[in-house]
Amino acid sequence: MSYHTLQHLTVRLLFDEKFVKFVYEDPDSALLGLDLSKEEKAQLLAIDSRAWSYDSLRRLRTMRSLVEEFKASTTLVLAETRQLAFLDKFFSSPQFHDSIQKRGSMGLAFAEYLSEKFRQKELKTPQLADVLRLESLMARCRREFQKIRVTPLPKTLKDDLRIKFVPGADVGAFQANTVLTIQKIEKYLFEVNLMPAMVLCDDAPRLMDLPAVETKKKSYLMCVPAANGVSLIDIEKSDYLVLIEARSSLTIHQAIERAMASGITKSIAQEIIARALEEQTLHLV
Amino acid sequence: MTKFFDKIAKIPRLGVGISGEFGSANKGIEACLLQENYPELVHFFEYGGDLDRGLDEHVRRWASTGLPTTYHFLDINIEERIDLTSDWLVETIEMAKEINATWLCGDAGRWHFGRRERGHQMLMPPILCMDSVLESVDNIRQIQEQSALCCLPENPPSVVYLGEMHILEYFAEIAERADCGILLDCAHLAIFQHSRNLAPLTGFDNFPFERVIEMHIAGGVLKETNGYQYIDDDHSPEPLESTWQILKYVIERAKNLRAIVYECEHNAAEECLDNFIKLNEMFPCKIETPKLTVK
Ligand SMILES: [Fe+2]
Repeated sequence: MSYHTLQHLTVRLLFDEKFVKFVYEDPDSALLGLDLSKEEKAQLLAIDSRAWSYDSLRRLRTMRSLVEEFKASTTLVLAETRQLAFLDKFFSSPQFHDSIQKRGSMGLAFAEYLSEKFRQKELKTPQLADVLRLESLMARCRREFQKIRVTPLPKTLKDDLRIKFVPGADVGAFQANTVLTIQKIEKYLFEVNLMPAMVLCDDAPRLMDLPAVETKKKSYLMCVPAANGVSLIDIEKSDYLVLIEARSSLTIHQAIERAMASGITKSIAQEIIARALEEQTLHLV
Repeated sequence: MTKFFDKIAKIPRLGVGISGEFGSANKGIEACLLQENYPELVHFFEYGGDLDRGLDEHVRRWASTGLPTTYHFLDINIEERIDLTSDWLVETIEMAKEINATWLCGDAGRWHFGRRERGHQMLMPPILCMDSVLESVDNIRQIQEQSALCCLPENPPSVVYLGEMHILEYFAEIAERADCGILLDCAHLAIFQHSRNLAPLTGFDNFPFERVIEMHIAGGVLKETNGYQYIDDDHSPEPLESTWQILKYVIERAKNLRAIVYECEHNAAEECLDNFIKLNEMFPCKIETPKLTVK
């Protein structure tokens, strides 16, 4: 309904002064494609344009919650760009506006914003790619997590049963030093948090000597729902190859076949699936 | 008599109460202590809750004394049907029942943009139009049915209000159609009237005063951004003159009024005592409330 469109639009206006200017100067272009009635457009433009920017700390407060979730990625970005504005521009980006207008996730849109900047080479820190991928995986799992009633397992697992990750579980493969890099960043942040005003000093600690990107070795991680959100577990390559198939629902038979095509033996694939079902990383669907 | 009036007839006057939310007792006024020291001034506690933070130790302590509580939600978009999930309903009702809440209430508009997730929290008023009324009505009906408690929508604060209706007309429509009560926040109404250049008491013609069950009062301050003036709902101790004016006008007409909350928990208790006295004079609590003991 169009009032929902109007409501999403108000959020964008409250966050982005540039957009406010665009809407008031050229409403036809700025509001093109939005399901709004003539009356709604008129109501919007009847509001004093200065009213939208009453909360000068809104962006910073919201950025704080994004930074909490993408702690390591944003630290790498700031270390490289030395520009708060680089992060702040997210609120004027198409990713931000699109996520709000479509009732999406701002956090995931932020990850996409940074990832696009990396793809376009506006960001170059090599460690960023996988650090961001790992933080995005966790962010996605947090959002997908929901309590479900898991179907009890039968005594024997027939291979025509369908399996899938429980909401909030997933796996990923990352360059081997990704976790080490994040730990190094966390240690650095802990240090500067002891006295935040030290960032004003020329001799304040800098983020240096990050572990190099490991081009050949990979580490495999599984994100699982935990009491306080999600947590990460180290897994074997074979677990990764079997479990990644369960991102969408498939039969045990199909999962085993695909794993075998990746070089996993049938008995190992069976064992991995059975264990994941017992531990409720996978469930029967 | 509708179901709502049947229900409300059985609910006694709660009197003057104080608000609080997760952890607020550690930073501002501790309601239990205030009630212990001034049992004649504070009669119930309104807990502002969300699923993310749940109940705090302080509200549990208050509830354990048997004194009344109400549950004020901080995390549901009443005007958005898809936001009312069964998880939210089940968990919210569980919390409200755990503290023996007399009813559910809360700002009816949006508490977050998009889905309920971190960083999306931002209180926004509803779009004041009939489509939004109808969607809110569906949600309130469902909450009332499933909880068996009254659900009182509250008029939210904002700097910008959109939609063709007056906010009092919007809430009157909701209340009649959902067969529910109204929580009229006098400070928020003063903010709305100011934002539309209207006098504080505009819009009360045909208003269903008999459905006003609860009122809020809180301090506010006139602020300016780039020369644009607005009232900030800062919950400082002293309510604006227009807020008092609205409160007085409505008390005289709201025959089923059961509760007034002074939203002052972020301040020092001493700064708020005079207003608690004034509110009790305006709306005396006729019930004997047991004295709270805090171990
Ligand atoms: Fe209120």
